[in-house]
Amino acid sequence: MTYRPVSSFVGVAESELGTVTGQTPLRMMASATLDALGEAGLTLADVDGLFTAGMPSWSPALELADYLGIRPRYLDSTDVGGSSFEFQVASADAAIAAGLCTTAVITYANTPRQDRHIAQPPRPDPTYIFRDTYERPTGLLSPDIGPYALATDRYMWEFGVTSEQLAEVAVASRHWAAMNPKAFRYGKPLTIEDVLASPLICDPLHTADCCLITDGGGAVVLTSHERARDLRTEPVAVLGFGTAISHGTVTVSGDLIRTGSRVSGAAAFRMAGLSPADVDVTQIYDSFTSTVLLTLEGLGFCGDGEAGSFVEGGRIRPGGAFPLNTSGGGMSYCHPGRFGIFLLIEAVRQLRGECGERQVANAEVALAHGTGGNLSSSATVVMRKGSVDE
Amino acid sequence: MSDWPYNPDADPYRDGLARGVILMQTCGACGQVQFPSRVRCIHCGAAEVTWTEVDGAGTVYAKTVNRRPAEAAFAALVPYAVALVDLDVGVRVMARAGVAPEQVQTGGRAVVYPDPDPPVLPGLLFRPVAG
Repeated sequence: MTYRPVSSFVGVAESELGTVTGQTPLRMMASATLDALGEAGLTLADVDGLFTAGMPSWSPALELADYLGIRPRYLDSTDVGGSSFEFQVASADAAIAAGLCTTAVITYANTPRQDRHIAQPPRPDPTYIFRDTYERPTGLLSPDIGPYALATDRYMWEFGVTSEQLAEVAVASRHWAAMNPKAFRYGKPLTIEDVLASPLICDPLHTADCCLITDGGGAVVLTSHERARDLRTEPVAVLGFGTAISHGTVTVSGDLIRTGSRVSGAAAFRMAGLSPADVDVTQIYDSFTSTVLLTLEGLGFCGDGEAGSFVEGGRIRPGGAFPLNTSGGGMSYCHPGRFGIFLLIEAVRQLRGECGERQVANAEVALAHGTGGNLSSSATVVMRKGSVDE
Repeated sequence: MSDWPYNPDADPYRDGLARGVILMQTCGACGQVQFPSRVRCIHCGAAEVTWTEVDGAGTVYAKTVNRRPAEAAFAALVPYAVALVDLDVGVRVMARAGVAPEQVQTGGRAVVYPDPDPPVLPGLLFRPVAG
């Protein structure tokens, strides 16, 4: 039996982005949540499902509920890294289908830039026993760039993908960011040569192959298709989703370059009754340039080893045949640690036709794909504009 | 070492490295080697796992060159290569190159061995070998 999603996105919002001052993740999540509810004509009193991840708290969901002053009957703070919010779309839809909640908020915020300037006691690094025991002794730059650099090396070795092809992902993101005034790199052009000339940190990844580190937060609101019809915003229906994990830390990885996106993407398309060719606008987590190429292959937009040539020739830039990461993505727009929430926000806005200069014409179907951890967790959400009859 | 995480699963492994050998768990029921070590066999669930010395021969699955030290103790080693090495016994390990980064080839044969002078914690080194 095929599961049919029951919910629609009815509100999306960002908090303040970039380099913030005088902020906390709680303040930013509350602001984004209220703005996302507000555009739908909803209030906190309507929220009976609360989803969050990534806040360094004894209990993120409890602390956020206290701060918002709400007592939702369904809570989820599953944390699998930057894709957590795509995973939570799946959980929220299932909870709404099961009658466990009717209106769900998914929210995230963090302030890694501001934190550099605030005098506060250092937080101990989170533990991960396999990493602490078997990887720390090697001196790998971890938990972020080192594992991705290993995957990128393997990818280039197996398929002959070049640094220039990887760089195109960063350059295209900068072209999109030039049309997004909220983007951290707005008005800051970037060329392939710039990327290749930026310092290597973990070969083969250069500084400019990496996502940004900014402050920021966001929220999305999901409710039943039926309820969505009566709200102020044009609904965007969840059509399909899929989730997968392949490993936590790379010591226990299998094939690092055939990622969980193969499983999550196939599941999402099957549930939606669609294929990659049906997608009009795509948001793929761009933690590193290589993450995007591996994911394009995993989702079936091109074959194995073909993503490097797929992105060439302006295909993923504005005006190209495959509009990708239209906000500027984690490379050029913002990246406060777990970017997945912003993939959903931009996908919904594109389908509502609200993106101004960077709007993709006639966009009906969007895909958002989160990747978390060290290419560890993958979740795909396929959505379509307009209301759905139940 | 004071920074060694509390991980009783790995005590024999750590003690082996100090003696210059790589010890891993072999399942008494299904015979498979598992790494990292755990309380029981992840392949069949059996509790009878025994520690045996394994051969460090393997193939470099992927490598990277760290241009910045992960922590201060590695600063003098920069740049250094770190790789995932697939051992012939059927498990993957992470190890730092005991040779210059240029000598490391993805897909090349290598041998993994205990680091005689670990910067922070007992761990593994590797070096390419003719294959």
